[in-house]
Amino acid sequence: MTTSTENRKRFSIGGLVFVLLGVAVVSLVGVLLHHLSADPQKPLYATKSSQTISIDGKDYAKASAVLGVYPDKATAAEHGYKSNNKDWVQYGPSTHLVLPAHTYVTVTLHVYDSGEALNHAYFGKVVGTVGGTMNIDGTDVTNIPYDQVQHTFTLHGLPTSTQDPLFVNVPLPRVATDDKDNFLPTKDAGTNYKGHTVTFSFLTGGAGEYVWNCEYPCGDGTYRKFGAVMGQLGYMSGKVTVA
Amino acid sequence: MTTLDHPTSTRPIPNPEKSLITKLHMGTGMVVGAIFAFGTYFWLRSGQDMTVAHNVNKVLLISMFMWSLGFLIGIGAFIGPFRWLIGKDLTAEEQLYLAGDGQGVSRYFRYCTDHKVVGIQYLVGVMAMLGVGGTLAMMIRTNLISPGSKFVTPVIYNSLVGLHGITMIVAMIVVATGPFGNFILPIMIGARDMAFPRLNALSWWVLFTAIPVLCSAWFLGGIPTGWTAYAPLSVQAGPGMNAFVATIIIFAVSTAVAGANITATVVTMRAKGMKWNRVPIFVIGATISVALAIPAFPTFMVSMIMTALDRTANTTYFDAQFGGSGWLYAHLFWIMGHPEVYVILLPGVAALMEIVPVFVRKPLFSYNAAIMGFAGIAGLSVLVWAHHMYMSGWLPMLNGPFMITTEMISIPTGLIFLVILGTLWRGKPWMKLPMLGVYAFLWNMLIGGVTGVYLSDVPADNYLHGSMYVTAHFHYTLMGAALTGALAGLAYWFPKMTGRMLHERAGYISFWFVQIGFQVLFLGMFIAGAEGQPRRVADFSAMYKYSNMISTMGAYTIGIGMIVMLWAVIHSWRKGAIAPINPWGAKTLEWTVPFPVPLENFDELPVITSDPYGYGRSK
Repeated sequence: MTTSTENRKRFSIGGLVFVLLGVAVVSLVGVLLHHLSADPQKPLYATKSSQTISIDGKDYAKASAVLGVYPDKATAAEHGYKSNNKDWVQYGPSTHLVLPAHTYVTVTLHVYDSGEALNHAYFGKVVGTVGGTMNIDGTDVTNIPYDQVQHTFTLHGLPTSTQDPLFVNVPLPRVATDDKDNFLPTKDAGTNYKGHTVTFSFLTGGAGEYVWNCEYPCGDGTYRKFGAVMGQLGYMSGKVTVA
Repeated sequence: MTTLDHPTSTRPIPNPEKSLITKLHMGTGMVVGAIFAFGTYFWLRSGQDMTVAHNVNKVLLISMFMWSLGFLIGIGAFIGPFRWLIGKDLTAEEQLYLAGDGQGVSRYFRYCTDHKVVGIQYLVGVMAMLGVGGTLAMMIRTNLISPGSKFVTPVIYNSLVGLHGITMIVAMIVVATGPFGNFILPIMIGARDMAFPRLNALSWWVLFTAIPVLCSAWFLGGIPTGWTAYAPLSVQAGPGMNAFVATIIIFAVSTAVAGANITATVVTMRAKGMKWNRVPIFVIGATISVALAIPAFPTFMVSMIMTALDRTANTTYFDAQFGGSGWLYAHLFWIMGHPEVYVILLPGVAALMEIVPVFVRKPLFSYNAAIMGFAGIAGLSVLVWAHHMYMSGWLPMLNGPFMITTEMISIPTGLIFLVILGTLWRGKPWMKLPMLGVYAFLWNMLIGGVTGVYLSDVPADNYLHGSMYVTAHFHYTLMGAALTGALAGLAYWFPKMTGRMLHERAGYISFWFVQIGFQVLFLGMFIAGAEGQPRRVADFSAMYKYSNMISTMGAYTIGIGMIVMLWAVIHSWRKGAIAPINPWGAKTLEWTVPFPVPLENFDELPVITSDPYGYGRSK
């Protein structure tokens, strides 16, 4: 009788320990996956300004961020950015932007790549910026021809009721290989170009997490240019945290 | 402690010392497999531009197949055919050694031809796969615990969904036919072994090689496509997709080999007097299931070969711009995909139908109707695949005919229900653990079946497709019905497979945790789906927050229940009460053999003179 009670007790304790161990193993997997979800790149925080701007009767604080689009590793390195591992076109210095909430954000993009044609002309339009425009080398424009685009900066998010909607699309003008003025005189004309400076502003809403990506298929020759860089994170796509 | 795992034969233990087969085991297989895989990888990559995706895919795919081939060579899978080819067939002693005669636990880690060893290998393998797939499910539900939880990134979430899906589908396909189809089925029909014992071992070890390949997807960037792997998304996906493609191709080889073997065994090796109307219903269900798999899975394999070619050789099977078609993939996938649902379901249901007469002590009600039900399901299941494509735009004029065939499949399914209910009718059930599974099946399959009728209906599907409603529906059929059947089968046949009784109280605790958690999880998901929450999306609107929170609590409850079941199995296997030869008083042949079951099962082959369900008859 005593042995039977002891066995029962041993079974119950063993079972409980086993269940706790099982829960611990599953939790450990969760912790590891959560760790994998950590940001692979150091985020780029927008620089906050003490100035404000009034839009539609409402005052917004100002903030700004500067990014670049580099056709390869070497060009990124020339501009002082530690580039990604692969010799692909890439945004820098980070693909994770952290922006303040309810703020007038101005993004300046220095872009150096050539380009071909968009699959969908819609992404040649400027959408979601203040005034519906962007500024290219000092000139305000609302769109650029679909076959003059090098990349796009297209910011969007899952339309949930937990965060404010945010959609911004800015087409980036390509650097024409047949335009001598655009070449950097000391560089190899086949690979390095002078580039353009694009500036645009948009308003952030409340806190939320958004993604951005390039809508121009800029991968290598595989899968109709959706291979390589288009298939990997950290180059031509990333996220925007509004905090 | 009583040691059960020892040979009972007085025959000398075979020990062909000089034969290579005595030196080979799982460890040598892994070493040779790794050498083949890494050797191929480094050799091929040296001559390729590895910044080009096609080349990366080519190198990875070939390396994965070489791992599989190397492992099989290393474990000795091809020694028999090779020796036969050179005219030096295996000696009788070597063949006995290959059958694991007198080798104790080590035979479970060798290329062993004994069907009972293969059955145990499948059982352990399936439990491991269910463990991995279940853990991934917990991660999915944790991410969906509340809107904007961001437990994992959307990219990792996509991989979780895809890997959970394919791991569970593979596990569920073999969950009943693997362990019970191999261990129990040959004894049930009075055979000494399977028709092709070496192919039997091959089917398991080929499947085993697919497991590390699938796991490698995590280290190659995951799979972004879900388990359906629709093209062109799968064609454009990153390197992790190669692991999925290779897994399916390897798995299809395994199922083809296993399916042919089980079918051949049942057709040709039944005991004398076992006419077709005397064959146990589990054998019928398992055989129809694997026979259905034989034509179904090659289409999935072909779709994966075409995906591999699009990914590596610049073909354009699924690229509309160059004459290919995404619909072609969808057709190939679902021509496998819907029969596959019944490949999973039938053996689990058949196991339950085997259990009911034993625990109600009544003959199976209308055996012929059960056969017609199985045959009707199998026949119709190959004519319903396009109901998965109602909303894809493919030939809408065929939606009506496919709706009719799909709705017709509820008729043979209803027959199966009636057979179980008829057997239960006015019976006095012996409420043991296997019997609980029967009632859980009836409840779950009813919900799964009725909700399926709505999805088969084109106007209703217009609203419900792609939503969590679909996810809840197929979990009710695959988990609520098929897995419940397989777990009941485990409780029922555990004494014969291990020589010990499954711990009953732990089994009850597990049963109620799993079943209650299951209802909570998927009823919550039905509500969210009916309200419009899309499936396969990492985040959701706040309007679904309560149903998702409830679902996640249900998932955790299932998780606890499954861990308890794992504990019950491990504990009972090690220290459970010694089982009598026939603890349930059943009449099928597997309960006439002792434990450990002798190498050739029967000293004298049985002669069958009646059906196996003669309970309550005067003679």
